[in-house]
Amino acid sequence: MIIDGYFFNTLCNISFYTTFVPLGAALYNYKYIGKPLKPIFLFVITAIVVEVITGILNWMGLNNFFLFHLFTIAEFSLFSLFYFNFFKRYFNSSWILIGIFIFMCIAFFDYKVNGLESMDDFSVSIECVILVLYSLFLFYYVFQKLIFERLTEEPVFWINSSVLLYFAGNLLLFVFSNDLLKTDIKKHLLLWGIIHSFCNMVFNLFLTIGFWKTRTR
Amino acid sequence: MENKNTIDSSLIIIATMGILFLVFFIIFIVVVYQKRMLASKTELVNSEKEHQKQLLDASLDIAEKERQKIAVNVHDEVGLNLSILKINLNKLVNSKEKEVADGIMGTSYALIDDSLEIIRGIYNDILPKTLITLGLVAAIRVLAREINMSGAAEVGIHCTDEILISDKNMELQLHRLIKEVLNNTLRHAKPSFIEINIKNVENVLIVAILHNGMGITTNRIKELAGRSKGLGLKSIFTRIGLLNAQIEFSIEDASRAMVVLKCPLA
Repeated sequence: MIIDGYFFNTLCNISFYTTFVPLGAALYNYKYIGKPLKPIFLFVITAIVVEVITGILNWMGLNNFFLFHLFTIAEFSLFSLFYFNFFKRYFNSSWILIGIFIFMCIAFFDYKVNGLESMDDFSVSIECVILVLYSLFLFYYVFQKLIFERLTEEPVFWINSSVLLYFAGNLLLFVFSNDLLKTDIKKHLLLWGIIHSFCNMVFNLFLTIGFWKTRTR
Repeated sequence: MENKNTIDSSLIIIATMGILFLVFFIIFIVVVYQKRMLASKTELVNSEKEHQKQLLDASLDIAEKERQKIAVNVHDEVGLNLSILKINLNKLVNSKEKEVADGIMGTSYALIDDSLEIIRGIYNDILPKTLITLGLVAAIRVLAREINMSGAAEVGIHCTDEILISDKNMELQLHRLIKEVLNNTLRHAKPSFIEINIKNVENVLIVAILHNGMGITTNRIKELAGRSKGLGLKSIFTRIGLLNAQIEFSIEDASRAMVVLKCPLA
């Protein structure tokens, strides 16, 4: 159990500190960040602020689940804006904006059902599925239209890969999070430490590369 | 009972690993195939550029040959007549007898008429008068009549549709193309009978040339065009390219062959 706790804490700490890496890359390359990547920059700041507040509330022994409810809405909206900004150059993508509104309704429904005392597993699962679909569609579109000559040099490629990896990787964890919390909280924390921390680290690494590639474009 | 209700964490980890593997695989496939598709697209663009260059080279060659042909005609025919005229004028200055002077004058008038006829011929060759005044179908009818009169083959022409080509340059190119196809057919297929059908199908000009000479297929003719040093076939394919048209050569049966030209008019 001690090993589990230590393991969980270590992974969570490393995962938390990696959040600052994309922020550093974004600040360093701020003048190169175009409009499509601005929502991602805002997301990175939001994620750090939420992580810090969550940590403080946790330290104070207070329930911090309400923050996840708000963060999910912000996260979905900012990533949707990123896809909206990208796709609007090629076709009318206002359906993504409508998607944000629909998702807000889903999040409100989730709040009504689950309340603020538990994880928003329903809305997070929906968020994961939608963002994974957006990400796959972006790959399909780029692949079909051959928009970029050197795909791996494009920030959009790295940001999109990070979205696909993070949300697909955490999908099962988010879907079963409330069940795990109710049945076995230690198992939940262990899984959170393994899956979420790993995905988060790779996610932050890809975001960092994405922000860095804005300079070399 | 409680164990059955709890979710197997190792199953979640394995399933997540499977999903992550799939995600990395998708990213890998996208990167690799995008590169391949881009390479093939670049190859296609390069081959298109090469084709355009060949078309341009061929059209420059054709233009150069046309200039040479005009220069030779002017030099050999008109130039010779003018030289004789000059000699005649000198003779006229020195001649004192009226009968001799009249003879020189008569020869000179004949030479002037001949020169005018040659110049008219050159002009007509470059810009057929019928084509300018009456349009493509009438110009092809004139062409058919000329072939009939020469006795090279019996040419029949059928056109019930109205063919209106507003772009005069396009009309001229089409006329030259059809002329070249007929010329090649007469020279190589050696038919005794040619039937030309002209149609306008949804603003696409279709010229079908049916003959009873030796037939050839499109693939074979393209092969010959690639090897041939002559300008005939090259000029056909250059004009096809310029007009954004299509040409198909086919052998219908032992005694019938067909050339079909399709050209969008708008």
